[in-house]
Amino acid sequence: MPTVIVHQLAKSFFDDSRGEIRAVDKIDFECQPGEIFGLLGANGAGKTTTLRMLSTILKPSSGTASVMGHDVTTNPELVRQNLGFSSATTALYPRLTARETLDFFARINGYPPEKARARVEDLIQRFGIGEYANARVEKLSQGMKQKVSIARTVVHDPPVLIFDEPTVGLDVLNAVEMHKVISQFRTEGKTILFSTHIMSEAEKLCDRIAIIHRGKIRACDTLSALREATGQHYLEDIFIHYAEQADLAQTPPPTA
Amino acid sequence: MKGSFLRILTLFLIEIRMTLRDRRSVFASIILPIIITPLLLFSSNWTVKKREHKLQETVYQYVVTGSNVSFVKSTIDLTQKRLAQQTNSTNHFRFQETNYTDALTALNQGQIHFILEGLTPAEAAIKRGKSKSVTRKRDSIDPELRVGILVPGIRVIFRADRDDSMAGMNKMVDALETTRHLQRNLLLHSKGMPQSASDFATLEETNVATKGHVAGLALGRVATVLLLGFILMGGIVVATDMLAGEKERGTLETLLTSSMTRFEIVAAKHLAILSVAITITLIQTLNLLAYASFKLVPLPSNFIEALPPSTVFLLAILYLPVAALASSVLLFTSGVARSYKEAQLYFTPVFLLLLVPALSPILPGLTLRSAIVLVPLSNVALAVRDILVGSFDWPMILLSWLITTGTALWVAWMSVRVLSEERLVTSGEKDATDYVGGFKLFSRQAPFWFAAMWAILLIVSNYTPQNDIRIQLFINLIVIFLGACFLMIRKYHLNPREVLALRRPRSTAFLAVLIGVPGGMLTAIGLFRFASLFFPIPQKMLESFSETLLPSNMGTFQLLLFMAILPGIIEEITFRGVLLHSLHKRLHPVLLVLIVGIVFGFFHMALFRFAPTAFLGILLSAVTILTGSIFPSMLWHALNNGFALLSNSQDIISQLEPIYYLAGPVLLGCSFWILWRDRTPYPELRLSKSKNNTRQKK
Repeated sequence: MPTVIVHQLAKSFFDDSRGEIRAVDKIDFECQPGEIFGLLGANGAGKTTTLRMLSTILKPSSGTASVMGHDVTTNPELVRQNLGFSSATTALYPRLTARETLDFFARINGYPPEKARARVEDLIQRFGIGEYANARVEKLSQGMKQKVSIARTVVHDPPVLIFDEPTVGLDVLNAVEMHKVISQFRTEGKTILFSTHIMSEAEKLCDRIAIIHRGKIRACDTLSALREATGQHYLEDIFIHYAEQADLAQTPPPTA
Repeated sequence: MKGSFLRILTLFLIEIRMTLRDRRSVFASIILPIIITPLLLFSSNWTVKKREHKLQETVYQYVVTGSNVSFVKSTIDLTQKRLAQQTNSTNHFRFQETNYTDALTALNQGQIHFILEGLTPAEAAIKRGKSKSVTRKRDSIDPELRVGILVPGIRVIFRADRDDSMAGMNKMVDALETTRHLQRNLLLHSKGMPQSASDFATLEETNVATKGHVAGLALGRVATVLLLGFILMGGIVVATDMLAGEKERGTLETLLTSSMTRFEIVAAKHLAILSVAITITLIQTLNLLAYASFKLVPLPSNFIEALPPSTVFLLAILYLPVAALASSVLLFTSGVARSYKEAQLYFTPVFLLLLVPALSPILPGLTLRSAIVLVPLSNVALAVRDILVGSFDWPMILLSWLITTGTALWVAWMSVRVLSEERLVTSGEKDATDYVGGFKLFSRQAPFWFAAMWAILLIVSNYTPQNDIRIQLFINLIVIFLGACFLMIRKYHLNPREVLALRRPRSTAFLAVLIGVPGGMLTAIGLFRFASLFFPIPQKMLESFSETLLPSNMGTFQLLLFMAILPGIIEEITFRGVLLHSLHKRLHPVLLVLIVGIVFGFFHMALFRFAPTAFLGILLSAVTILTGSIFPSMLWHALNNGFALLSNSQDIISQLEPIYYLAGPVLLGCSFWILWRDRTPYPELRLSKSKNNTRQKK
């Protein structure tokens, strides 16, 4: 049974000079447990808007989306309880320690209080943050913060995880570490939805890839199926194939 | 419910912990005020004492000039002798004559404190004639002046920009005047008059207020402002950090994607701000009391007697919604701002907005039994003043408390809404409504327009001379009501025909109006009489009501024009037109009718007019909703006011038998039966919940 269902989901914004902008334009996709689903697209393609609608920060203009059977507009609290969301804009409280952060987010996300302490210690062990678990977050390095942030995302053990551009701003070592962690979550049977504009990352991790361009999903399949359909080997070429196709089909965009 | 409470508690405790860890906040909002207050008090006390001491010690130097030196010297001699006899006086005044050839330069250079210029009788008469403000005209009431007798004079020349010169001049003038006064009495006595001019009659005053009452008034005038100042000082740093700061640091999105609801987040943060604000207020109050016991702050001697524990408890209960409202406003402001800097920009206007109503006890003539009871903060401030003076107007105190509490809750609820507004919680993207403008924006902003209109009306009705009611009606109806409606229609590019419901109703609607007007009036008066059995209304209030409403200087035609026809047209345009239109898609029709009616009642300022006008407002709104047109309600309104004038001038009301009141509901029922049977409802009403949902999804 799919854990995430997105149906005809759309979001429009208004802009002074450009009028209505369809950031996301009636997209459909579904994700399964134990699957890494990648949203691949250039900057401004609509990846972040889609993920923000799934995390209930933005309200869809039309269409529906559900996480673990809960609708994002009618049951946002239950959606968030089943979701771990991490993005460039989900920072940590600087004045709390790593341990306090994890404990706090376990509690407010409805993790059973009697089990919370054990869960926090378990995560501290697992992510190797024991040494600095009692230091304030504001004193940690970027890499350390990243680890605490991931632990924070999964502290209430949600079945669905959303990572919005998780490796942006990380050095190679930390980025590889991140890839490992994401793969681990897949083996635990979690659904992972992540967005990236880095082709190699998508190639390496994703079970299925959705190519999103100008607010629409242009293709959505496994890497091998996409290769077969386009006759291209590298994901970069596949991406460009679909992007060009889309641009040709559309009337040329008005120049700003 | 339990989970919700636990989540709120968890976030609340974390917020408090983070606040305590923020050295900047703790220092700025707790430690600094504790240090600064005593420092300020000490230093101001010290400088005042030092200055007094210095002026006390000074031997004032002066030069005598002018063409009548001998008169000056003789007067000074007399004064000196008189002062020498008063050895017991603590406020002793010592002066010494010196010699400078250029006295004015010496004065300008600070070598002397003042100059005494002796004037001959002729000179004095001329100087008096063209005396400028720098010359003190203490003797302007002298009887000699009136009869035109020529007398010598003394002019004291000093510099008002120097403390010692000013003080010396004051003391010298007082001393010389006392001397002259005594001389005059001696003179009168020698001519056979009583010992002193004041022996003609005695005059005395008796104060029946206790010292506690006087102290209470002094305290009551400033208590609310002082308290609010403390709350804001304490809450502001914390509040800014809690939403605007979180947005800037990016932690708000982390919180918003947790399973806490917006309500829980706002509740926890509000509690945190409130706790900090109350803690700081307590600390500062104790601080002040401590200084008072060290005599650093001059409090009235009977201060403590004026405050029995029961009063303190009542004040605490009254001040709780004030603290809650201040916290709500701070949180809301912080929520609207997208960054720390933007929040700081808003806080000055917010300070003024909160402090100005709290100053109302200082304004003369404001009483709790007026429209001011509807203004949050103002009402509590006035209630506190009254309580401290020992007058307890329980219904008004309760109403004040309820209104301020309600406002606090409403602002807190607005903060919940702010957290759901995408343009405010995510960076960059703007809310669609801002760009679309038109009806949607109008619908959102209309309540603020009406709040502003109400505030302007309150000011105008309190501070314009009421000698001609026509001028006031002109300002109210044409300038405020019609002006605001015109501006709204223009600003939001609305279609006047739709907004004002300018549609042709069925002809039966007018029949219904003709039956309904007397029916409505009789029902209202009956209800009013019935209610007055339980809540007695002072006769004086009723009398003053009919006085202002029925000025004697207007003819029948003018009366009808100003009191019936113009209000009928313009008030309907404002309330059943613009206001009703702005809310018709947001509220269920029943609620819509009630709200428009109640707002209409609020606009009639005087408290005792609220019930009857709100009742009329509700009827008129219902008529508009059922006919889809403004014309029947205009006719109803004008006829109603016309009948009211007629019945007032003929004094029909008091002659009515109770049985007639029963006819009221029957007529009203008939009228609404016709309206319902032939209804042509107002378009696009929000009739059911499902419809509203589909509209939102669009």
